[in-house]
Amino acid sequence: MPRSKKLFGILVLLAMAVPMGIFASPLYLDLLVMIWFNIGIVISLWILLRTGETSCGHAAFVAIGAYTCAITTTQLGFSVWIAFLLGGIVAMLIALMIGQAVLHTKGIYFLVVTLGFGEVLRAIWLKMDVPFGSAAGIKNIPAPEGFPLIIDTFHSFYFLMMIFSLIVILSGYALSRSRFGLLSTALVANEKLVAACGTNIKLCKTKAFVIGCFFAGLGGAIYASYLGFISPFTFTARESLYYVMYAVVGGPSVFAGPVVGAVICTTIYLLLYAVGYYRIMVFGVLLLIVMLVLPGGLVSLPQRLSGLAAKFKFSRGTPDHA
Amino acid sequence: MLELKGIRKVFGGIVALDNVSLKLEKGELLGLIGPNGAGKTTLFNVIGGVYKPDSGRVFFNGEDITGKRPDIIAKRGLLQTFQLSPVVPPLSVLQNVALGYQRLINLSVWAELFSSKREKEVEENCLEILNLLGLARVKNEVVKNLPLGLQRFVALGIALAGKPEILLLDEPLAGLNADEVEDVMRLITRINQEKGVTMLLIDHTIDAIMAYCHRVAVLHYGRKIAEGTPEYVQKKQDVIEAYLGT
Repeated sequence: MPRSKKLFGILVLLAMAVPMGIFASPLYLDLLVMIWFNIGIVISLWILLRTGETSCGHAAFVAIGAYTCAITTTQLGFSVWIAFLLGGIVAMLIALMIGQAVLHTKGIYFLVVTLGFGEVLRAIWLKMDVPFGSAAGIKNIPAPEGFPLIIDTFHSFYFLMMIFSLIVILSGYALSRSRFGLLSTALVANEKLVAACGTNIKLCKTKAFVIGCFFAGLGGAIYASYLGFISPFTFTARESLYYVMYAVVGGPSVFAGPVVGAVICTTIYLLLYAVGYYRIMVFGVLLLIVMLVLPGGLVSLPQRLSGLAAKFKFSRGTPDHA
Repeated sequence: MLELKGIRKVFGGIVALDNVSLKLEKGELLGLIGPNGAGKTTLFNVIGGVYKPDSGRVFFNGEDITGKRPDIIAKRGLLQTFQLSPVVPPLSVLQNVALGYQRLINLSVWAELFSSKREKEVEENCLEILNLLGLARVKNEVVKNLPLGLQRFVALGIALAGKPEILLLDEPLAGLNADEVEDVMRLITRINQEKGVTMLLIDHTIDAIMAYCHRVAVLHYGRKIAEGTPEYVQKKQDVIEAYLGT
């Protein structure tokens, strides 16, 4: 597809997103906010996934941002805007420490360490009454002051989340086109060669992790303010796994993959609310089908369909001599 | 320029390298030969920082680089190509060569992240190398779609993009036909002479090594059994025994 056409398509979608936010009913508005939020978070995870490392503790960094926002606003009286930024920075600093400690190992070790880290943090939040509010969490997290109101706070949050998501998308895209992006792709395919060219592999992966976690923390802080409440059960290991799954279902090899995955999975998951307890089961089966039929993720669907169409035409077109 | 002193490397019970010493002068083209399992690739890995030797030291331009990280050694100007996976298959030829340019780019930790402007500059430099290697017409092809011979040229291009002072080539001739061997060897000599790149070359294509290299060293069971001019090495009894058996 030519670039101008692609750009046009993206602009049309964006233009559609604005009236959607204005006219949606509260229930759907919540869904739309979740979609924007998940797009941002999945892209922030994808920055790391590109380097071949999988984090199973991404939700923990979202939660770090959320708790930072909650504590600084309700207990320390910080401005909410500053709290958002602090959420990102705290998540980033913690990611830096963990990255330095474990990113010289490969694959499964990092996955296990991040998973364990997330659960350890959750235990701390659960047990410590001050300042984390133990199991009850922290309530009454304020919305940002001086917020240009669009209809009401609810609708304004939609646009705030959209802006957050667009910032992450643009940064993620710029990153994937930079030298850093080239190095990330290359080191998955041939790490030894990339190192022998003069690249510090650990630094490269740490950078991806730190940047991703900054956006995760930022998103988490905004989300905490949107929800007005955060508890140890809001972001668990299950959410971490979902983020990985969204990226994989969408197709992690291209930029559009995680976006498509986040949009479609979040929509299906939230709409399946209707089937109640069986939601996760139905969702799981749907995912299995997608992965079996489309190993390249949802983004490979158009390619796959045109392939099937060509095959069909061919079998119809050749005369049967038998 | 490059000096190895008493390198020893043991894997489990196998002595891969046993007291290997070697010296390379500036501008030299040294061939390293030996039967399979002689320890040639291990030696390269020790020099390049992939393995730490159990004992012995590696000096590069008088500096001790033993056991330093591969990227630090590369930044000093010692580059190498690998035998088994010399390229990044899913990237284009141009992107592959751009990777090699990494050694010369001194971007700060964060500038690297949003550096699309610098990439233009890199691209121009890379095109120069692609022209030298005759790869300009396939610059946008994905490397895995190219024939093996061309992939070897790409591997050379990656190494050359970093403007190395010394280049280690691990079996650049393996699996090539006679014509391709001629092409690659002629190119290697040209780089050696015109750009003044010191080279250490591993290969099993003995004829080509003997014809083009200034000096030849022979490894056998991890030990250096001969070193000298091609004529001298060819006549040495130990070498003949190592290759043909007694």
